[in-house]
Amino acid sequence: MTGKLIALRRSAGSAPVEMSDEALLAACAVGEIAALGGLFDRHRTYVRRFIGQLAGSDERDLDDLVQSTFLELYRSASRFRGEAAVRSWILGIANNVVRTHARGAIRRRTAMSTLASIPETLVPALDGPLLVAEQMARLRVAMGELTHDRRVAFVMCDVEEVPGVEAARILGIRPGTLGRRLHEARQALRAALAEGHS
Amino acid sequence: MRPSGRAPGRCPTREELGRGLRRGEPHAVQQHVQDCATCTHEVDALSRLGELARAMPSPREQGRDLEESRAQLLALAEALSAPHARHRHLPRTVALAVPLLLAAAIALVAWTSVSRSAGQRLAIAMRVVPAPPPVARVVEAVRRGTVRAEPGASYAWIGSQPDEQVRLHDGAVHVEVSPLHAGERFRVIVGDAEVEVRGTAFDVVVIADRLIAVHVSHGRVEVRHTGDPTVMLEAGARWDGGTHAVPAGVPPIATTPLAHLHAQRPARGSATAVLEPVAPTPAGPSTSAMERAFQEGIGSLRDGDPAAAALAFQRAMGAPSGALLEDARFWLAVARARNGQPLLAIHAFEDFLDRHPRSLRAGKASAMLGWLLLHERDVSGAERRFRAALTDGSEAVHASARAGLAALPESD
Repeated sequence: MTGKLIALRRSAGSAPVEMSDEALLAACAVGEIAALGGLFDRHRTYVRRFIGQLAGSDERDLDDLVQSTFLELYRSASRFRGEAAVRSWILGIANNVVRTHARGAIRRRTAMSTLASIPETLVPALDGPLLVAEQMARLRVAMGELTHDRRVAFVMCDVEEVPGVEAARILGIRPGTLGRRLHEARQALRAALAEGHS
Repeated sequence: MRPSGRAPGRCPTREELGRGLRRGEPHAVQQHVQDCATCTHEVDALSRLGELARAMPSPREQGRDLEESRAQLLALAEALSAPHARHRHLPRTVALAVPLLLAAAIALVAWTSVSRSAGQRLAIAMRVVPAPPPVARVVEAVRRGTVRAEPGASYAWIGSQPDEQVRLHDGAVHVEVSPLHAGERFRVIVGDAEVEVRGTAFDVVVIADRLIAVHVSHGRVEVRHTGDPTVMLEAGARWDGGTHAVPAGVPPIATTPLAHLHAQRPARGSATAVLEPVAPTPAGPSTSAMERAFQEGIGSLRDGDPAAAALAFQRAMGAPSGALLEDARFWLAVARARNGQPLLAIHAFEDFLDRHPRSLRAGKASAMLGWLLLHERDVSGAERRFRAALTDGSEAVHASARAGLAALPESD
């Protein structure tokens, strides 16, 4: 382990790609900065998308939240017990970061940020209806109207496809509770989309 | 092969169906679904939600910022790097030092940025920097202003504190300036104007080195436009170049050959020598050339190249009048919106609606403008445009306007 750590330090911030997520996390737990860089490179895209769908898509907040997630990951790395995939575990941290953040001043802006990409998607196609774009716009708005708990259930299970039992463990709730929240989220979202067709 | 009938036995409820389909949870429900057309249809509907959500566009990201974000993250982590295991056992006084270390790391990153900027300043002065300065949060510590540029905007930082200057040649930028101290200035310099601020946030739109519009989000802005008296704009106010006299010798926007300008410009994302103002076109092109430019724009839009489309529509706007000019104005706005240039798109839609208020596309343009304004947090402007769109006869436009009105945030 020590040898690896020295090698990581010498790699100037780039962790060897062959190291597993678990190994990188273990390295983070003993203060290896380069390992954090490796995890950031691997998971940033997922984390960014996940947070974007939980918290809206305001770029100003999004990048800060992604950074906070990885800093929290670095701080909490020693608490990883291997009970879930590293990626799922990171999404759990991201959820906590977003939930804390949502209590702050951002809440007011979130309603707006959920609409951030709507203008482009609503710009009409040259031919044919705008069904998909409008459905996306409606879905985005409807997701913004869900409670945080329902939204995170939907994003984690249906968008990021984290297995249900694992998602429940990460969120610290019973699988049945997760199932109920997921069901309620889906019902609300389907109703919002159906409204668009009526 | 999809099931064609109903499987024997009771169909699960939607809740049971959803529970049974979550990955990693084998369930008898899954077996049932394989044989039941009704449930398969239900499952398809559930899957579509996830697919639709995954297909939603993510906020844009710029590669250069990524490297800066990564470096900043590692610097912050380094500051926390009194190893975690040991940290829990550190005396309280030492633990309290961690935030100080964190602050020191941020200052170090900021200082590094300043040093690097200072070192490169001579080199980058008078070069076009087509993207916003990296790591706005850090830059804020060393500059009073931050700039968020729309794609394709050409601008450069040409002055530093205490007299910060941003030279904007073309495109749109959103500027935020923190309160200035005595003796400090912040200015946006354009070919024919200068916009000076006193602690504010505002948008500046420039086309071919000419100031087109200024919109103040909060604070105050002073606009000094060549040939016009100085104007002080308060929060919420807008300066529109269209309502001002055009200085002699400057070609009207519609005939300014932006393609000519862009022909001098390398691909987006690379720095280049500063662009010289574009000379007026000696003679106006023929109507058929405008028609060809318009068709070229439509073709580019169909091909998914809104930037090229915008250039073509801009050329087509050289048409003297009539339907072609109206169409070109509308599609120019659409192309800019699709190109991720909301500020330029807003200006183009407003221009279209001002000039063609009775156009058949006025309702559609109003709805789209409403969404763009909402995106830019101009809630009252958005509401006005959505309400205007409600008068349109198209159900699609109606639906969009209703959705827009429903999406307006409640006032505090």
